[in-house]
Amino acid sequence: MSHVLQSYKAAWQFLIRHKWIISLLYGFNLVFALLAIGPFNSYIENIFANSDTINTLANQFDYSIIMDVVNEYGIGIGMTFSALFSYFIMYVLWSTFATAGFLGMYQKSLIKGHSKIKEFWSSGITFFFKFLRLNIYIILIYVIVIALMAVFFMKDGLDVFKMESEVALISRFWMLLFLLFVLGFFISIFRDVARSNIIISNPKYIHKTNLQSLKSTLRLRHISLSLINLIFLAIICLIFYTLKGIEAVWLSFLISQFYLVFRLCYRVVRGCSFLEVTQ
Amino acid sequence: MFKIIAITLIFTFCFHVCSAQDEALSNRVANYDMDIYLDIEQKKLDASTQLIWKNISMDTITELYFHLYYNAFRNSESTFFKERGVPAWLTKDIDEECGWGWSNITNFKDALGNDLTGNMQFVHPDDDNKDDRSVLMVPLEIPLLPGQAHVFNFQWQAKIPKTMPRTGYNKDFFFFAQWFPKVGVYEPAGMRFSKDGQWNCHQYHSSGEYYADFGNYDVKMNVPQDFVVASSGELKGQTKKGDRKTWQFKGHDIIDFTWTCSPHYVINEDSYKHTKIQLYTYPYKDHFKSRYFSTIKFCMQFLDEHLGVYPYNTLSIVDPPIHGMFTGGMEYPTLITSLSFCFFPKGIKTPETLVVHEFIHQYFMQMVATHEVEETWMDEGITSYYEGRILDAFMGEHTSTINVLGVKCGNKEFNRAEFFGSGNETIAPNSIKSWNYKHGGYGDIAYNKTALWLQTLEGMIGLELMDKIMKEYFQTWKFKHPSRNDFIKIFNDMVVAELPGKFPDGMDWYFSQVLYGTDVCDYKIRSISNDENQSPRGFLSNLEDCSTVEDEHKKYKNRVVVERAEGIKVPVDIELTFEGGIKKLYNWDGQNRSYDITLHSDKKVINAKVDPDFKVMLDKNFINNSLSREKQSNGIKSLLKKVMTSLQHIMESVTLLI
Ligand SMILES: [Zn+2]
Repeated sequence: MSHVLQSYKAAWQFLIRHKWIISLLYGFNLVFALLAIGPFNSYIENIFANSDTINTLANQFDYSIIMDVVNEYGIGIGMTFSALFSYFIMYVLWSTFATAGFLGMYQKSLIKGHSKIKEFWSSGITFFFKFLRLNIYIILIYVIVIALMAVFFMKDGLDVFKMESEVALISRFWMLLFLLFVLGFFISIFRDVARSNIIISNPKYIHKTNLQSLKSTLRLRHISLSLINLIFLAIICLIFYTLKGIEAVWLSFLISQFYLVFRLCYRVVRGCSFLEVTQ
Repeated sequence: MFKIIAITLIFTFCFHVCSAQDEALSNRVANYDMDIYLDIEQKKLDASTQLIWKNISMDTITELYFHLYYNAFRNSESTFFKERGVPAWLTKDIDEECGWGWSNITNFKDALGNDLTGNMQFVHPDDDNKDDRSVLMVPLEIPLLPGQAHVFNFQWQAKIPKTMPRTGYNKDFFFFAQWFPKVGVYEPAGMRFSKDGQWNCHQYHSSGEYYADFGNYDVKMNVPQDFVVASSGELKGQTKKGDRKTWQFKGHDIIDFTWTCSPHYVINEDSYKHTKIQLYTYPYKDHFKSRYFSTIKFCMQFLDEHLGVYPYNTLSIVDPPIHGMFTGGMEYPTLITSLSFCFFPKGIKTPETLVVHEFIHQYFMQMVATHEVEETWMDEGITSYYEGRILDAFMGEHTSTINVLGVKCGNKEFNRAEFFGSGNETIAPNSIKSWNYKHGGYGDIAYNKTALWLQTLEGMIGLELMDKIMKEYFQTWKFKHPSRNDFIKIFNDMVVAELPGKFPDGMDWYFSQVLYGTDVCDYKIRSISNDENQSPRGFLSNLEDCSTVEDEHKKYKNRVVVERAEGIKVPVDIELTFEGGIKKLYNWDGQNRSYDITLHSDKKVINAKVDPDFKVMLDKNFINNSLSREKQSNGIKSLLKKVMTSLQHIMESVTLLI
């Protein structure tokens, strides 16, 4: 357990020493969000710029107004959303690169006791495709898990006229949702262990490493480290949730940005602490 | 001679029976005394009916017409299924269990014992579909003279359909709506659209259900002992015999009678003034009871205050199980059905919406007994209008339909969005019969469009006058059968009397657009300009002095152009805001395609709004109702900030997973 805590602490220390990682991750998140919102912004401006409706909406958003937009100005919606989606995909690719970058850099610092910025970029390049492949596998795992759950959910059919009541269906839904969370918890551990092993051994093909990672997923140290990380995430979520009611536009914007920064910290610390504990 | 004595006896007997009840609220034309035996194994009803039917016209009646609604479910060739098409899910059930249903009168006698069974024949007044058996004509041996009431006795059977729209059985849940042979309405000359006396008894169509005369009902249902019965009317007694139990219900001054039974019903009770409210639900949905009771009591109070008293001693609310959801969201005299699923959070207001909507029908279609098939808007549309008002008053504007996880939507706005999102805005006028909505739009136009034009009407004449007129309409026409002409007449008379300056010719100009027309409505601000004023110059006062007249107070020529972009014409308010925040209100009759307000002032117009208070709910686009000289950057920034932060967090959330 002390090794686990030590790893967690070391990951934080690394992050504090390299605050620029967070600045970089935050900066890219902001840039992608700004780029993605660009077409949406011009679409909205085109419709609302000189109409009072936008002020009414800001105070009291009634979702039925969406129908006015769709009915009268629907043509631009598809293009706006496809632009949004393409930036979204680019962000996922960037995140994959960045994760490979900071993990590679941390590995270097574990070996040498120090690290350089250029190692972030070189690790990103070295491990990007391996991490991307891992991402695809994880997406496939989720797809299979969700498909199996859907099959189980609908095992008695969804014909409402055949049901005695909806209670069984709802209990099944909650049970499956809980199961999905539990599986998600273990899939995340597998992902972090697999990433760590890829960074440590830099294999030509990742299948073997992944298999090895799968075997060690259920180790107590991995589970406890994941729990510690999740406790941190839960705390920041809770704090943000309690501050959510703040009406002032700028203040609520700032709070949500801080929340995002802490979520980015969670990502870096989680990855690094797993890397150390996997050594 | 014998016949004359007998008929006199019948009349006297009937008169005695009909007047023996408590004070009549209606003319009690059609009175039923029924004994029903429910066979849950065979899914059949065995029944006998004694009908006392009063001829309130000045005509001699030589035949009776009956609705045999269950014959609409006899096979796929009925008018009901020809119009609707047999849904795949119905076919599946029907094939598995032969879930088709029928209704069959086996023996029909008048009070003298004349057997009329052999004379009966099915007729198809609406579409000449010979395979439709939903209307039965019974020629009489003894005609009914004006003012006479006759007794008729008939035995009948019904095969209960499975999961058909609004009625039938599924598992051990039974729901009987439009279930018994029910006499049509004889309309004497001058009533509604009737030029000569005539029977009004339409076939059972896919859309639109009601039109019936008022009367008293005394119904005894014999069901298995463990079944709980919920019914129209008041429970008058229960008698057990072996493993069966007979429930007796009596209803007075109602146009229909509906009942349901199941061994699983749990009953909760509350009351409003003299009315006992009973909620029949399934145990796993019992937690909705406080939502139902608080809503229904608010609704009853609202209608009590705005229209008039609910005169019945009972109101039953039935919340069917999931396998009985084909019966949910319906209205019957003193019995309404809602629909909920046990997982509905508080913010999903479906149970509240349904219970309010269906209760309003106690006023519009039950007490004010309009013809739902011929003039659907008069009950569904007026009901939708009150639904919005009551739910907004009860749960707050913009939250009365959905208020969950930050997603908010009001009832009026939801109905407006539904209408303008339907694509059916111009497909048919509001005045057509229910089965003539052949290409869609029945619900969109009869329900939502009506609610929107009633809200617009309220905006034009004011809430206070609207309430006064609707109360007058209800009080004048309760327990009668008005048509749209009667509705329009009350509006015209009262609007002319109360607003002679504003609408001296009444409101026909409006009804002709919204009831008989298919146009939509859109008023928009087209442009704002504030040009430097050209001062008067030249030889202004004589032929010698060439001068310029400067006027400090007329620095700008302000011009605001308003456009009527669609067909509907209504008067609209126009609000101009000048620099410094000064506001001025103008009025335009809305008739021409465009209109301008041109002023000379020392300040620029910075904002213009047509219909600033959104009184014209029929307007299809609220976004173009206002125009500002300056960009509304605060609003846009605020919205973009919200969208952007959401986007940032969504992007980061994906990286949590992979
Ligand atoms: Zn309705």
